[in-house]
Amino acid sequence: MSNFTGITATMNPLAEMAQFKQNMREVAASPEWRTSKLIERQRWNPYSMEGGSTAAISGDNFAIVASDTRMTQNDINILTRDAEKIHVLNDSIILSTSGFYGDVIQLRKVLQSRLHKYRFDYRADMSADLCAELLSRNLYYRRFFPYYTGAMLAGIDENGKGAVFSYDPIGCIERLGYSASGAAEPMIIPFLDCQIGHVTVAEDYEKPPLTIERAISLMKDAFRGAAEREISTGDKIHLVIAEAGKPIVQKFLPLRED
Amino acid sequence: MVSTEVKNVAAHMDMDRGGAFDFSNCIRNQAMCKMGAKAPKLTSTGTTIVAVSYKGGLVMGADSRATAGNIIADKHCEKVHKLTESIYACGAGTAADLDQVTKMLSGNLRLLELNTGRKARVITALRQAKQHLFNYQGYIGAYLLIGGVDPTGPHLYMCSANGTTMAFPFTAQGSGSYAAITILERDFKVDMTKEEAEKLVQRALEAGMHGDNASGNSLNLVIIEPKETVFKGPIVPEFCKRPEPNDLVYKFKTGATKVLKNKTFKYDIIESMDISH
Amino acid sequence: MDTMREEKRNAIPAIGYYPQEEISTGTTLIAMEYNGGVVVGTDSRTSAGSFITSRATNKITPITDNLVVCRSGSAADTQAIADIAKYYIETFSMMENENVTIYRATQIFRQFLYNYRDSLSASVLVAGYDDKLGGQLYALPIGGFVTRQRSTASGSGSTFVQGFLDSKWRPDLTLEECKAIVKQAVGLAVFRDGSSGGVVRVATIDKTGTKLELFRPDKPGFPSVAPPKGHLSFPDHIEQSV
Repeated sequence: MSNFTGITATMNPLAEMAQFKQNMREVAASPEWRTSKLIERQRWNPYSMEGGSTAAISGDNFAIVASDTRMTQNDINILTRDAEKIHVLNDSIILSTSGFYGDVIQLRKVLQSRLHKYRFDYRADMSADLCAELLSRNLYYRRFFPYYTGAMLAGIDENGKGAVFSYDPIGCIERLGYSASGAAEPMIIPFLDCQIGHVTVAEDYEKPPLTIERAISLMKDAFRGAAEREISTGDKIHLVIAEAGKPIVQKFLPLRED
Repeated sequence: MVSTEVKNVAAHMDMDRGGAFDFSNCIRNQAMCKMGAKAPKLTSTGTTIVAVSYKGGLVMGADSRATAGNIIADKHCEKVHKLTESIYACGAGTAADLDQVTKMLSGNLRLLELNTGRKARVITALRQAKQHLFNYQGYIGAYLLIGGVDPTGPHLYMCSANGTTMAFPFTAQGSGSYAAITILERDFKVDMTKEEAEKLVQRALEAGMHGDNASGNSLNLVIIEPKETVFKGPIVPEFCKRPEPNDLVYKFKTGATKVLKNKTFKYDIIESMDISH
Repeated sequence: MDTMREEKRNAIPAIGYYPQEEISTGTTLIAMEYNGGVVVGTDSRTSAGSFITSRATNKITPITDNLVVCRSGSAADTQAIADIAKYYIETFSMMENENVTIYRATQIFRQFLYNYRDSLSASVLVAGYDDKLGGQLYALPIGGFVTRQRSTASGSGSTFVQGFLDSKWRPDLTLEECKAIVKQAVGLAVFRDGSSGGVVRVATIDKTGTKLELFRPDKPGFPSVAPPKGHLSFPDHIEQSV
């Protein structure tokens, strides 16, 4: 964190150096702290971020979704310690979201009403795969005024396999083995990469199989670890477990509150 | 040729203050920002610091979390700085600035004590801090609570980064100060006992640590009285403890990392450090 | 400390981003000359953004035994100016072996306010008594302009009471009359101005020196204002407490 980032060499080196020297001259002539700078009022922003993190793991016949339950304002203030970031949409679909909570609620509402309509039209619950595609389209529908959410959809697919779908705010969809989103995403993803993806260990090293028990433990530990070092993650783990042929189970586990 | 030109301008602008503060890279950094670079994040102690005066003494306290953005950079950082035997300063703001300012203050006060043969006064520390910070027009991001006991009694002052100072019977600073000050406003009484004051400070700090994301982990207290100064900490409140241990053990057996190349160094262990936290 | 928005949290002081809002005394300062001296009255609120940093500030800073300044604007700037000016005034009176006149002291304040007008946001009222001209009151707004006033108001609360003061001042006020007017003016300003509040501090400067008084809202003597009754704007069938 201690270095300047973001400089990319775009011009030829000589031109770039000339440009830099030009900038040096300009800045030295009137450095920012000497120019009277009006502090601009922040323009109204339709979005806000309420912090928190979610993660999902899929296995052979199960999918696990977890999130913390802290909701934060401006990264500093705690709004609530019992926020719901995981939404069970039906017996096989779980939506988990981070980002702007207003959009999260709206998105959930849209999906719920679409699922309801589907039940009404086809006399059956929508499958996870179908809902994943539906969510993608709903997100892209708002391409130029997006839902500001890092959504993940998890559940049991048509073939009885665990599934995790990950999205960007405008509907890019990807089916993954595991995923995370939110404030602690940069901490949880490497952990899961190491423990589930085994991307850091040698090929001939013994890799434990991903059982549902192991996945649950990894999920808990990921959040316990994140709560240690990420300030907007904490209070409780909300754990939702979907296993093929079984009803969805929800659990709450304590996390540190400071 | 161009570079000498720049250097002259820089010297003319009186940026190189010598010693601890050297602003000569400011111009270069601004030019780099113009080239599209992003400036690094500073470690700031989003903090809760609290101080309360009572009959004959003063209790000051701070949490111990230092953050860089939304990451906890240090879980056990020391925010209660000793200036003299009976003057302490708690700091909120930019960690590096606080360290340097308090170091400078403690040095100057010690010199003053040696030169005069008397105990330094709190107002002296305050005035030094205030004039130093005003000189730098808020660019030194140090928000201080300076307090202590001197021959004229217990004193508590707040000094803001731009050089504002105020005297208080009780106060809190930092991002957790809102939560902390509610407790102080509710429970503060004039002429409390030492135990009451200590409890109040701890309670206020806990409120800050609980309600503010950027504060937490543990708290340190210092109780200053004319005769003696007692330092307490780190105290870990119940809600700052890890509620559950990890499920799994993450120890990699030998062979987890593929060995690409081997090279051997011989060395003796002279000193080791506990890095378990 | 205020809750910080993203740009503020990533504050880089060296580039001019401040992590906190500047502490300033959104203020009510009232001052008035009477036939034997000057009376000044202030509120006691100091705020940073919407947060009240201190609710019992003393904005009347004594400089000598018979000279005070009332500060408004950036707290840091006004404190620094008061400190430096006090140092100059003390040196001046030591070198000359006589007390400085209020006018001379005002000019010292003016010198700083004018020379550093680009980097300061400070305005002060200088009030005092000397044997030459008696009670005097000088207003120095931001920029370093000086005027002698008979009665003046300064700070964010001043707009609410300017007319009141105009209607009340007359030549040869007595001390008691003057104090009553000043106190009432502070009370009126505090009632309407959100960034003024707390206690009322009144200082009287005459040839005997400076006398500071404090009026708390929970004790008698505080110039409280009865809130005007609301208009009965709802339809008749809705009951309203009058």
